[in-house]
Amino acid sequence: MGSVVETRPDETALIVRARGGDVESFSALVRLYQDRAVRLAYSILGNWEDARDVAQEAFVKAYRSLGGFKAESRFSTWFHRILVNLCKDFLRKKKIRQGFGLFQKSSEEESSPEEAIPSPAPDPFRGVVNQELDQAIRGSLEKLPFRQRSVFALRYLEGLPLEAIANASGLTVGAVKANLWQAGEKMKKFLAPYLSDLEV
Amino acid sequence: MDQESFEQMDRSFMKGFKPFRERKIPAEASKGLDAAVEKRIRAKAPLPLEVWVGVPALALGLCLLALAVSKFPFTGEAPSLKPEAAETETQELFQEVELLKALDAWTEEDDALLEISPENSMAELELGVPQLLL
Repeated sequence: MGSVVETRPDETALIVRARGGDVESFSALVRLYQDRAVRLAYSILGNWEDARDVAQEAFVKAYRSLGGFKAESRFSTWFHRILVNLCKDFLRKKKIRQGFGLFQKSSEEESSPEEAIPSPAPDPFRGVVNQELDQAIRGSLEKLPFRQRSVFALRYLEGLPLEAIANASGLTVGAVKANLWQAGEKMKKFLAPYLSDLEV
Repeated sequence: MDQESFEQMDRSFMKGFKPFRERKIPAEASKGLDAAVEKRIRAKAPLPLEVWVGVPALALGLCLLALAVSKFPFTGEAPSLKPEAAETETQELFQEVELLKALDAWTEEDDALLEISPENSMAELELGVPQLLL
């Protein structure tokens, strides 16, 4: 997969019409970017369902914020920033929910220890991408702070150029490199048993 | 971290993760996403451009109407401010005071409270309002 989304000839026209309230034009824009958006969100979130939900939210937010989109920048750059921010919000809320869930679970265990804890909902996409190495990478990424996790995912799982990552993350290229370096060092430790498979 | 070591690590990871970048996303992950987005947008769609153009037009119309009304010659008179009515009310009040005096229910203190003096009782009771109108 290419690292950069090239500007389609009719993309500007779609944006102009969408800004004027033409929802069909915005839907055409969504179709141009939806695969990449879901994929990018998955790289950060590690779950296809969550990735789809966040991508959907990002498109809706982008439509409502189109007035703030400056024509001199690329739509993909602007949109990626919205998407990455929403991924961050999603993970923050998920962490809070998990914390609350743990609290609830411990309360339930205290009150009725023999009661079975319900298993998490099955992931309908899991069968498609379930690989040991993939799981190891996902598990390792989850141990990283969000900034390191997102820049690592955008760079090595999405192949975005450093400048694009900087724009999407609101960082300088230097800060992106520093975060990549720190994330890379940690990932090497986390994935030590798999480094030969990865050829890293 | 120096530039060379970063580039070396970067190249290494880019090469190692290449198979993950080439992996296709499951069809279910993005299927119908455009329709879902469109549905959500339409459910809470902002006002179309035509409506926003209509708002200033309506405001301009209201301003012109207000201007026309303000320039229209106003011929009506406030009934309560007619000199005849004020005079009648003053006379009635004076009669009531006289009646209360006859019943010994009106004292000089009451006169003092209203600051009524024999010289200017009528003028004081009119409270100045009818005089302004006259």
